Amino acid sequence: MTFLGAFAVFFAAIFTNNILLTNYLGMCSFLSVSREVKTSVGLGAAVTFVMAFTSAINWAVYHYLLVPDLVYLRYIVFIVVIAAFVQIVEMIIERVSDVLYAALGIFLPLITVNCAILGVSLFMVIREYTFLQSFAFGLGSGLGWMLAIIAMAGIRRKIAKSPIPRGLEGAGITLIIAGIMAMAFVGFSGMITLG
Amino acid sequence: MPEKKGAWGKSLYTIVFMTFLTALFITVLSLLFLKTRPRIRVNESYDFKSAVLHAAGEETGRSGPEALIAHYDSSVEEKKLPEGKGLYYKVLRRDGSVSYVFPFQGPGLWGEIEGVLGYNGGLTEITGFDILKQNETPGLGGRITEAWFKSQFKGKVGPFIALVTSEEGRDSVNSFQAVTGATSTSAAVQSILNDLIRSSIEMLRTVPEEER
Amino acid sequence: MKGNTKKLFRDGLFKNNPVFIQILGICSTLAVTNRVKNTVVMVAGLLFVVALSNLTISLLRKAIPSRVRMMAEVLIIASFVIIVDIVLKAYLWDISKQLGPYVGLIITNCIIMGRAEAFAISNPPWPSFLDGIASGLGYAYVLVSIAIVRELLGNGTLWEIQILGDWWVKWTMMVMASGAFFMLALFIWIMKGIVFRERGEA
Repeated sequence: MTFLGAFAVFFAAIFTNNILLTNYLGMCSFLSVSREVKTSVGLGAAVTFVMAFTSAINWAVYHYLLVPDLVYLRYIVFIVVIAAFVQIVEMIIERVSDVLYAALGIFLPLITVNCAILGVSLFMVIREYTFLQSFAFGLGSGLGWMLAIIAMAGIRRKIAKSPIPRGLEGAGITLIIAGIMAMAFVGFSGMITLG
Repeated sequence: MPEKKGAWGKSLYTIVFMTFLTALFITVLSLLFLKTRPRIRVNESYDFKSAVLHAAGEETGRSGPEALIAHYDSSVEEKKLPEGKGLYYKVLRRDGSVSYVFPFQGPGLWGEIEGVLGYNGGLTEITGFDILKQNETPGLGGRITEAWFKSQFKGKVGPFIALVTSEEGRDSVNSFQAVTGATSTSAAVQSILNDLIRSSIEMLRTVPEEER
Repeated sequence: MKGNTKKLFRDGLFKNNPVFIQILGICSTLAVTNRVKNTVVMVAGLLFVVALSNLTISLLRKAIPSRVRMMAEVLIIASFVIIVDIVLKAYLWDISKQLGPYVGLIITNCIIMGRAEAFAISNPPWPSFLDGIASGLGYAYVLVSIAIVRELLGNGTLWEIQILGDWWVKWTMMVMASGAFFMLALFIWIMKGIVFRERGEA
């Protein structure tokens, strides 16, 4: 597959195969952070950034270092690469820009344990994406995740004043909304098929 | 400067500790991996060999992996299509008849779908179908690996004209039943199979029977 | 000691259940709950990892330098996950193929990290091990019950055995992504209702 392939992967990752709504990855931070639009934007941006670059780095690490004999160690290697990348980015941002650090810095430590980041790297390996496709997949998944969390934060602000059964307050209602969102996103399928 | 020395000692301890921990775990993992590697290798080659035999219509039954691999090695011959159009497998079945098994791969909804499709000696009827690799959604498109889906191809004739979503239509020879809720994956299977039928199988039909 | 064990299990399974009270760790496993078999294998793997990583971290708790605490924990957890992966590949090949990347995602399951940070790092080995088992079980029964409903309604089968006859119209929505969200929400609703009522009486 060529450039077009990467493009299709990119759009599929945002809409039809949104990593949050179809694979439930990144649920933890999704449920806890989606209370406010502003923080959602910040976390979404940080996730997108880390996801795009770690999937590219992990692609290179996997194909040049681990194949063929060390493949079974990929979980450790991937998570270490992600943790190290997050750490380095945090250090750079802290020194370069106070504004950016204030905006993204606090979210970075949360990211290492975000399932979606590792998930993207693992999916990329299993689906045998090329380098370009992996980058597109990471970027697209990040944007898709951001889209979902921002939409959720917007909806949650609206329903904050609505009467909700006590047991459903918080996580329960958020999951129901996520379910409805997932159904809506299914409507995108057919728009793009990989291939 | 006792404080500084303390800090250095701490860093050194941290490094030594992490190195030791990493070395310990990697050793344990590597030992486990090396110990299970032959088994994993057998599993991997077993998959392919049992898929080829299934597609040829052979009953593999309850025979263990070793027996199956032995049967494969004695009855399957790897052959080349003319003009470098790829490989196929000639299977001499237990009942004396011949089947031809064609490997296929193509884009599914998520990633490549790989598998094998078998034809009878006259290339008129499908003897079997098996999936080797797929990355479709578990429980949805992933169900193309289930027996009810794979077994429905037997006795059919390609190319496939339509996907069927209800139970009634599954007996038609030019269609197969799609996985509910996974239309894209089913359509991908259809187009991959049709591509294979139009290229490889049509090509093999032009080869005289005794040379196949 | 005995009372403590009981409390650990009551907390893990009910009062402080990782899924419906703490809303943790649903990331990776929710995706495989459309099949009971896959779910059982997945939660068994998780149980193994959470119990043993809790034990190991607790044994090493005095030796781990605080600065690299997280790294050491991740390393230990990832190692156990790889063990699960290798064992599945060698002995349960079919299921391992179906689970694909989700086995690896056990690493980022918040429950494991959460229990390591909240309990194992400051408690002796045996209680830590039990705590791991308790929260693992608390997690397991929620997900397995979700999987049972999803597979039954969505497919008419249980453990891939046909239960409901042809008259059953399969709820495709149940095997699709949204089904899990709705089921989990429903589960949380019911469980919280029970917990609230208990508290009201107490």
